[in-house]
Amino acid sequence: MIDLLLLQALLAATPILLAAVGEILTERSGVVNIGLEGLMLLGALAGPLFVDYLKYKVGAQVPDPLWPLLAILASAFVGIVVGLVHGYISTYLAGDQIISGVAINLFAAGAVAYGIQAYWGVAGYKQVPDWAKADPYVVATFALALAVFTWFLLFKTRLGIVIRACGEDPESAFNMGVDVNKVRLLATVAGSALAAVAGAYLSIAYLSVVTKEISAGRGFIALANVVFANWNPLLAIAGAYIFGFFDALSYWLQTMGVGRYEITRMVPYVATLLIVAGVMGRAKPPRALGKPFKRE
Amino acid sequence: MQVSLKEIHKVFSDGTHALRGVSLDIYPGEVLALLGENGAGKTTLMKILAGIYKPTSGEIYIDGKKTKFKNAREALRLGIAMVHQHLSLIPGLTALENIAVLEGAGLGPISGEVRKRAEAIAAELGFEIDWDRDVEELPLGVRQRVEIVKALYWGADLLILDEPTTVLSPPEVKSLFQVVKNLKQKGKSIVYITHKIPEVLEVADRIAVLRRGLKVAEFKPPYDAKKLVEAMVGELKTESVERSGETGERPVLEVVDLWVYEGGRAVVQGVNLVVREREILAVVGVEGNGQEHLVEAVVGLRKYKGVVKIHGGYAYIPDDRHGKALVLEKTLVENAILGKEAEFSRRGLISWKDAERFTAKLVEEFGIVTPGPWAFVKQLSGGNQQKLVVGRELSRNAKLIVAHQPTRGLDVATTEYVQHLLLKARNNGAGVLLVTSDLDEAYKLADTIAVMYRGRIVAIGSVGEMTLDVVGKKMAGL
Repeated sequence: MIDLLLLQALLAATPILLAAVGEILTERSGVVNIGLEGLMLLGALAGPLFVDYLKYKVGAQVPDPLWPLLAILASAFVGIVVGLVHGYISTYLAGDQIISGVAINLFAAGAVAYGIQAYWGVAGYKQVPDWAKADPYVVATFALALAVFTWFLLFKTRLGIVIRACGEDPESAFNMGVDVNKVRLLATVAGSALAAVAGAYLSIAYLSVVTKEISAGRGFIALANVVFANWNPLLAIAGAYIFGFFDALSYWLQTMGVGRYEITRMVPYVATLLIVAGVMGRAKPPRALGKPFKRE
Repeated sequence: MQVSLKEIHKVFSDGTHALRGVSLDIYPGEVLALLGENGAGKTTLMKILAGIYKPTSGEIYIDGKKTKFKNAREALRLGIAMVHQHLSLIPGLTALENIAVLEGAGLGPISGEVRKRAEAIAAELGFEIDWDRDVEELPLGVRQRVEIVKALYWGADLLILDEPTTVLSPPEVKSLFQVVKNLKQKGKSIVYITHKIPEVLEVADRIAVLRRGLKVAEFKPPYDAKKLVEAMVGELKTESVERSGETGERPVLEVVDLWVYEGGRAVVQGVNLVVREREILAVVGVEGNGQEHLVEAVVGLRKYKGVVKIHGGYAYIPDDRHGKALVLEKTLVENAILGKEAEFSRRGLISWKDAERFTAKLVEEFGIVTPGPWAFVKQLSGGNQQKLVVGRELSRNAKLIVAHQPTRGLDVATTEYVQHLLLKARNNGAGVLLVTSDLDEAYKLADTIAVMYRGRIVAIGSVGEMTLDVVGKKMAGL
């Protein structure tokens, strides 16, 4: 029983981990993207929609195992496009990153609800067919590996030093010859792509449906996880897993018939709130986080 | 390397005319001191040479070739590096990463070569540096050394040191002078920016004096300190204030058996102090013997055990004006009413008209040089920022003034002025708790001197009783 719970926790942790690792990369470069929730939603829709379109409308012939991969790539592509917009606003246009992020969330909430309705003609709920499904454990393993890789990238490579320099002290980084805005733009794009992939995981691997509220706050949980992890991808694994555990626990309580559904579903969110409140004071964000870099 | 700056002008976007046509030559293997008051344009001029600012007009020649820099990296490629007063290593990175950041991006790890070479350079200069610590955790003196190593690592031939002793303790200052001499012997040129005359006498082969954006004089040894001061200041116009009135009886500050802990360690150990009306009590000591904790406990910034009684309110001039006294990103007006917003409020709304009037009064009364009351505080030079802090605090008309290193980093004229203000406040009946590591200042101002050593007051007495000899011994723990 308990080992099943722990496996379930891993699966629940994966989208949080993917999005959090991406956001850590983005924030380490000095850009904050609170649009993770929206990116997840968009990613959750984009993948299934794209492969559905390719298979039924275009009639493309693709070997079966490639469908889920194509879905994930389609989601990543949407993430990249949104990331470019948010990144460009946050760097070269020196816009307000919070407002831009809110815009992503609002846009996604509308676009996904509309998209499901417009494409499939159903209201806010569409089953993902078996041929488009990915093995969640494969994605989960990928997410873990990615967290480790990102940690290595940030703390053990020269690129990582440059990224962190942009987030801590863009003025100095610029004077060291770093193209601060370019680094920030690319980090934002990468982070957004990962958030969208987290969404694809939700729809094609974990829940096997597309719904208009499929992200269910996980984007914001991922943001909380970034703080919890103190902007360290390795700690983000722990943070994601804690959330995943409480998430799995809430379903387990439900199936055991403990408490009312409305109460047990609160468990992961309340736990997140408490944990983040606990570490809030000690977390040390990148110094230039959220501040556009303009010269002179 | 031979550098020529020709007719450099710099006008900042806020209209400040920082440099008004300065020409300067720098020769290989010499230590050139750039002497001048705060705001004279020394740092601006050198930031232009280091590629950090772009000149508004003027030309830079390096070994006879006209040169333009896009950023500091380009200047460094040609061998020009600057070690900043507010050290500019990137926080959040380790010392080694701060050097490696110049390698450029790449997926590869920091090569072992970087560490080896950095360590070799450090060893040659006699530096001990913990390369894997976040630079933020390193003491300022060590950070400065990291910057010097970084400059040399990347091949600097010309090293610009901006007020390098501000962050150093006396023994560190000595070893810095030795480092400067070593570098010179290796054929490096050094530009030494300072406003401290004893330092230039010690290290400079040549002295160029800047005043208000112009080069007003150059000197070669033997130097005449008095002439240097005249060149720097123009004319001294502070009328000296005489001490008047005997110290009163009524205490304005009573500290009884004060203990302050940090990280489980008692950093202030049972201090007893009384400051009375018309008394300046100077607490002296080598920095880091608990003075900072004492001050912060008195003004309520720290938890403590014991008794602190303040009679008649207090004003606080902190040691770190950027971190503790001013909000640099806000205007003079907003900063001027910090902590006294209530006085400028009507039914809960701030009257900005009154606030502006009050600020204009401060600007006038304390001679603050500013583009206007609505200028951002970060646009002011350090001296003028400090005048704003002192002006604001003194205008509280408190009975107790807590002044912590009130003249640190200030030029001669501003230092005198601030000291004059403290003395005047004392004559008008206030008590002053002055914590300073500048003994001249202590003797000039104090009625009573207390020596702090390892968290305790180890000696206290009137200025007459506390001879320099006694104070020196007590400061050293003898």
